Amino acid sequence: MRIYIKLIFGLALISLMTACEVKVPQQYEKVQNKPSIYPDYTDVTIPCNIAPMNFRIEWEADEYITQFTTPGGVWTIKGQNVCHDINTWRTITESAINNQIDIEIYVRNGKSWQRFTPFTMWVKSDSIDSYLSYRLIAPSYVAYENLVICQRNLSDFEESIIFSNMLTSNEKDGQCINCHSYQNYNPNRMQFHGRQAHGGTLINYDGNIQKINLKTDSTISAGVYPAWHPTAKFIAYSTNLTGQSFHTRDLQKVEVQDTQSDLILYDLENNRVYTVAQDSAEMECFPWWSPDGKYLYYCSAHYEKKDTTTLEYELIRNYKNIKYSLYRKSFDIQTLKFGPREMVFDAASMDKSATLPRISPDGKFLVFTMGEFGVFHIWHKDADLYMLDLQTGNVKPLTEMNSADVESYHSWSSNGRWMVVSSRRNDGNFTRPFFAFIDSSGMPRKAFELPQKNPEHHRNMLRSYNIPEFMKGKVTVSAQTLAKNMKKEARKAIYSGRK
Amino acid sequence: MSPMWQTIGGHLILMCILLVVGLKGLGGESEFLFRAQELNLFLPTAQFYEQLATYPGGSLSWMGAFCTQILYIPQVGILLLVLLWWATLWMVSQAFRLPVRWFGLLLVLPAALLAAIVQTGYFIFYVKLAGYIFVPTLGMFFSAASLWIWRLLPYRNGLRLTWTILWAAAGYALFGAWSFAGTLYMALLNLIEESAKWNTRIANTIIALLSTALVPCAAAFIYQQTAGEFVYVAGMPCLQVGETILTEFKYAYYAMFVAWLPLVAVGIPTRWKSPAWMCGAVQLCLMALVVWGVSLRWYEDHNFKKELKMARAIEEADWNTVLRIARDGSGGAPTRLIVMNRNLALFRMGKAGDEMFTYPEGGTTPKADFGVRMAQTGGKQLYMHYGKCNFAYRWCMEDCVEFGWSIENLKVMTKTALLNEDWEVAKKYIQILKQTLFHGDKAKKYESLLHRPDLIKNDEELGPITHMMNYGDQLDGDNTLVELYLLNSFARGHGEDPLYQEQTLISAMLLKDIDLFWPRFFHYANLHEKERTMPRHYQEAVYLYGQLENKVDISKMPFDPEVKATYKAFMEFNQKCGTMSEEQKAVAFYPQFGNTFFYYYFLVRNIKTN
Repeated sequence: MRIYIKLIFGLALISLMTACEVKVPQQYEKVQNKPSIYPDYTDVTIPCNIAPMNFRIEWEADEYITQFTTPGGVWTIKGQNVCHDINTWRTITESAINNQIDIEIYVRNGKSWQRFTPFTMWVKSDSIDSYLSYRLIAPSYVAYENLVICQRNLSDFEESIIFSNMLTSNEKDGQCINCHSYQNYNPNRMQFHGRQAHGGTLINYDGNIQKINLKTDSTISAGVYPAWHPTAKFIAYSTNLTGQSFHTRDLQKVEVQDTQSDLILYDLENNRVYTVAQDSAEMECFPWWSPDGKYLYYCSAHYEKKDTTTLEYELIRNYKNIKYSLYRKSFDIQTLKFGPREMVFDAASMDKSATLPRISPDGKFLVFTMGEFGVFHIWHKDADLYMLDLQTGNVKPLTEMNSADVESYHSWSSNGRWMVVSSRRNDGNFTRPFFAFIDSSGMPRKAFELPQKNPEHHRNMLRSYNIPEFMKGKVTVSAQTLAKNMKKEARKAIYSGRK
Repeated sequence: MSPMWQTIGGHLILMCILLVVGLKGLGGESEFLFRAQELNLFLPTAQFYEQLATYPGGSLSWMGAFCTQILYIPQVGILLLVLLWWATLWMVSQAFRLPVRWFGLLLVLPAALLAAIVQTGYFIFYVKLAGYIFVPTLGMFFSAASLWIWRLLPYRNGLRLTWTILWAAAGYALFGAWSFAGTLYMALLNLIEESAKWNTRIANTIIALLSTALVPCAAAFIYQQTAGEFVYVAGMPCLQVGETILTEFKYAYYAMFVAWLPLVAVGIPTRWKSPAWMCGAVQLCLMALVVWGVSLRWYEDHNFKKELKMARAIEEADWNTVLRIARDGSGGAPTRLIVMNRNLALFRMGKAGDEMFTYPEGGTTPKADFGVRMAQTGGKQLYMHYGKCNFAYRWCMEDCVEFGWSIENLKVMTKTALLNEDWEVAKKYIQILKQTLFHGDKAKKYESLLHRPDLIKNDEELGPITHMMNYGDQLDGDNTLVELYLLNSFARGHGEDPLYQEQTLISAMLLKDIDLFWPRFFHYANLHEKERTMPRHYQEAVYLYGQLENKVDISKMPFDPEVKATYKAFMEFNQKCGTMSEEQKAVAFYPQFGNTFFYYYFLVRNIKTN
C-alpha cells in the first residue's frame, strides 16, 4: 500500500512541476535579427491540418523560451528543441486559422535575456491532403539495396511502409522499385514498377492487383514514368532507354540521360498498349494529363544523330545540348486517338530544358522544372520550378519556392492550394520534400520542410525522398500482399498499334 | 576442496583459457578488428535504433554495432568479447547444471564464436549485417541468459512455459534467429528435467518447438521489410557475395547452435557415473577437434594483413610505414592494392621517379572465394588521394547503400566534400561523425576546415590532394576498375601543377605508352627545370624509348652513366638469354635488373587488376 501512496505522491509532484507556467522574461535585450532555426519555418504559410512544426533554435544559450501567440491564446515552450504534442499544436493551429501564429524566441546567456525579432506562421484553412507518399533511397548512383515506398500522415508523424524491395529481393536477385503513382490522389488506385528480379508493373485498381509486363516487341522498354488518366482506366507512360555517366569534377556528380524515349498508353481494362509518340529524332518523356483528361502534356527534346560514333557516346559528349520543351496532344477518350503535337512552352529556344509538367487541379497553371540542359533535373543544381499560366501564357519562376540548389519533382495537392517539391537546398545532396501554399492567382509562399517529431531528423537521415505524391488517404493494401503479387509472373500487355 | 571452490576454480580456469585465446589469438588480428570497427557505424540516437529495429533481430544488431565501435581500441574490444564469452559460459553452466569435471565442454561455443570472427578475411568488406563481429557473441549470450532464467523458474503455475513463449516472441523480435538457440534448448532441457511430470514436460517441449516455428511465420506478416524466406535467418549474417555462397563460413554458425548438445547429453539422468579418465578423454578429444576446426577456419593471408596495415598508415599519412610494409616481401607477390598504395606513398614522398620499380611487383588476386574489387577495399582512398574526389565519393555512397554506412566511408565522404568545397554536405557528415564515440576529434578537425579552402590547401592530409584537382570536368566512368581508370585518366591528362603533371608522366610510364610519354616527359622537364637531377626511372624510360624508336633525339641529354650502363648490361644479358621464354627471363633478369624500368617494360606483363 505504501508503495502506491508514494507513487501517487510522486506523480502528483511531477504534475505540479510540469503545470508550472513557463513565463517569458520581462526584461530582455532585443536582437535585431530573426532567429536562426532549423528547419527554417520563419514566416511560412501552413495548412491548418499540418503536423507540429517542430524546430531547433540554432543558437548556443543557457536557456530557451519560445512563445506562440494566436488570437486564441498564448503557449510557451522551454528548450532548444521546440516540439509540440499533437493536441497542443492542434489547439494552436485551430485558434489561428486564416490568421497567424506569432512566435517569439527568448534566449538566456548568463543572467541576461535576449529576444529575437518575432516571426510568423500564417495558418490557412485550406487543408493539405492527409497523406504523402515517397520512395526513400540513398542518393546513390548504381547500387541499391533497401528501397521503400512510404506513406506519411501529414497531420502527425506516422510513417508506414507501402512496399519494400527487401520483400522481393535476395542476395543474388536484387530488385529495384520505382515510379509509384496514383489515379487522382486515390490510394486505392496505385501503380509502381519492379525492375530486374520479379520485374513488372504492379497495378492496384480498387483491390484488384495485377502485375503487367508493359514491354512489347514494338516498344523500346517497359513503361517508365507514369501518368494516370484522371478518370478513365488508362495510364500513359514514357518508355526510355536510360544511361548514366559520372562527372569527374562537377558537384552535380552524375548525368542521367535518355538515348531514346517515346510515349505509350496502357489500357488497363483491355491490357493493351498503344504508341502515342515515337519519333527517332525526339525524346519524349514525363507525360502528365490535364485535369479534364483531354490533353496529355509531356516534354520532348529534339536530337538528330550527327556523327559516326554510337548514339550513347554522342549524347554523352553533347549532354549540355539536350534541351527539352513542353508539348501536349489532345486525347479523344471515345476513340483513344491523340491529336498532333502542340508546343506548350519552347524552352529549347531559350537555351533551357523544361521537364515534369504538372497542371493544377483547376487547370489554370502548369508548373514545370527548368534547368540549363537535360532531363534528370534532380542532379542539376540550377533546376528550379516555373509556372506557366495556361490562360495568359505567361511564365514566371516560383522564386518564393525555389532555392540556390535543386528543385525538381513536384506535385499539386488535390485542392490545388499546396504544392510539394523535391529540393536539395539543405545540403545539395539529400532530397527533402518542401511544401508551399499557392493562392488562387498562382502566387506561391515561402516553402517549408516536411515537419518531423525530432527537428534534427533530416540532418541525421542518410536517405533521400523521391517522387513525393499527395494522396487523399492511406494505402491499405499490405506490403506483404503487394509482394505476393509482385512475385507472380507478369501478364504480358498486348501491343495494339499507334493512336 | 568444496564443490563451491571447485566451481570457482573451474570458472577461473575457463576465464584464463579465454583470456589467453582472446589476447593472444585475437590480439594478432587487431588490425582486422580495427578495420571492422572502421567499417561499422553506431550513433547514439533513437533514429539509429529505429532504423535497425525495423527488422527482427535489429536490437541485437544495434548492440553489436555499439560493441564493435569499441574495437577502435582493439585490446579493449577483445576484453569485452572475452568477458561476454565467459559470462555466457557461466550462465550456460548454471542453466545446464554442469558438473565441474565437464567444464571443458563449455569451450566449444567460444571456439565457434572465435572461428566466426577469424574466418572473415576480405568478407569484412562485403558484410551486410551491422555489428557483425559481436552479433554472434551477443546472440548466444542472450540465449544463454534466457536459458538460465528458464532454469531458475519453477514449473509450477506455468512459469517456465510462460517464459518460453515470452522468449520465443520477444526474443525473436529483439535477437532474431539467435533466439532459437534459447527456445530450442528449453525444449531439450524439458525432456531431461526431472522436477515435473513427464506429460507437462512433453507439452512444454512441443510448445517450445511450435513457438520456434510459428513466431517467425507470424513475424512475416508484421515486419514489412523482411521477406518470408528470410524469417528463419533474421539477424544472421548473409554469407553470400553476389552469387557465391560461402558454405564453409556457415560451419562456425552451425557449431554455435549445436555447441550445447553435449551439455544436454551430460545432463541426462543416468545411474552410470562416468569415470574421471573418460571425462578427460572425451573432453580432450573434443578440444582437439575444436582446435583443429578453428585453425582450419582461421584466415591467414599476408597480403590481406599488409593491406590492412597500409590502410591505417595512409589514414595517418604515415607514408614511411606504407613503404616499409611494401618492402616486406613475405607472403609472395603483392596484390594490386599493395602496389598502388606503395606507388601513392612514393609519389607523396617525391620518390616515385627514383624508387617506383625497386619494390616487389605483382598482381596476386586477393585470397577469397569471391571476387574482391579494389573499389570496395582501398579504391576509395586511392581515388581521393589522387584527387578524383567525385569517384571516391561515389564508391563510398554505393558501398554505404549496399553494405551499410560506415565510419570509414563517412570520413572519406567528409574529406572529399571538403576538397570539393561542397560545404553543406561536409557539415552534415561532420555532424554525424561528431556523434560517434571515437571519431569526434577527427570530426572537429574537419569542422575547422569548413569554408576554409586556405586551411585545406595547407592541411597535411588534404593539402597535397588539392594539387591533384586541377583538371576540368568531363563525363566518365570507371567500370569498377580503379587502377585502370586512374592510369588512363592521368596518362591522358594535362596539367600545370608540377605534382599533377608528374602523375601524368608516371601513368604514361606504367601504361608503357610511348606516344603519351614524350609530351608528358618534356612538360615535366620544363616544370622541373631548376631541379638538379632527373629521377632515375624517368631517365631509364627516356633512354629506352629513345633507343627503341629513334623518334626523339636523346644524344644531347645528360643521362647518368649508371642508366646507360644498366641498359647496356640489360641488352647484353638479353642476348645471352635468347632462347629463354619470357617467364624464364623474368626470373633470370630479376636479381640484376628487377629494380629498373627496363625490366618493368619488357618483363612485367599480364598483370590483372581488380
